[in-house]
Amino acid sequence: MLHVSAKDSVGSVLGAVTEEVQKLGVARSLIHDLQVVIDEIYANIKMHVLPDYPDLTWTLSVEVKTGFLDLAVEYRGPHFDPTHPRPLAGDLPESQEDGGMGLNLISALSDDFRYNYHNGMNTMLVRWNLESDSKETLLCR
Amino acid sequence: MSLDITVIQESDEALGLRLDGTVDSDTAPELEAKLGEMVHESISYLGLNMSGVSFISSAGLRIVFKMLKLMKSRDGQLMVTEMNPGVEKVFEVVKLMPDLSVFGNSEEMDEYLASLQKAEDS
Repeated sequence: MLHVSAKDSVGSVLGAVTEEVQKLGVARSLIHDLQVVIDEIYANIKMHVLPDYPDLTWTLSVEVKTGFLDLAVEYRGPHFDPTHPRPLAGDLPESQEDGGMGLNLISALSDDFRYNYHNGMNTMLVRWNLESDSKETLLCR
Repeated sequence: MSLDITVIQESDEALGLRLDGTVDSDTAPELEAKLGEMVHESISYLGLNMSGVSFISSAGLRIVFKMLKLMKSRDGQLMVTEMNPGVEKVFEVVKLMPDLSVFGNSEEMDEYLASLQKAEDS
């Protein structure tokens, strides 16, 4: 489990997580998707939560179990549900410059993206099905 | 993780850059600032060799969209080449691919940029 604060660069977080999942034997294509998702969550917290709570810390954990890769991000703070992005509108690039693109990426690159708020704790869980051939997310053996 | 930006071709109208590293929420501001310096008013063709980019997130995609819009406004093109499958997947998710000029390899893009320079010189 990683403890992350505003002082940590996303590069250092990604470096630590990548090392961890490489040890777990996760396929390179899935590591790519995981990196994008972590950057999106990190940027989201930085943009929407940290301005009001600059001392906030959050935990990030990655686990491989029973055919799934799970990424969990938790922090104590105000309720903020990031799981309902606005759909990408149209094909024109101008329409995609506004917010929501990152959250659409999380949804598109993972198999499940859930949010829960309980007793002041925000929990985001992102899941990949490692047995999904179509997503090429099999573990390297 | 960091991002290196190298000029591979430059003329009055065209600029070719090679990106190496990650285009994430840390490095995207640096890319935006560098492009702001390098993409002069006369540039209407911007080529990005992505062979060294391991991933790009929405922070980087916003810059790509911005450059695409700028090149289109100048009747030019935004060209990319040698994306890894992950980067290409991200471009497809945000429906960016149809608006880009995608070259099969860096040689093809370099030749095209060179032909633009020759046309300028003649």
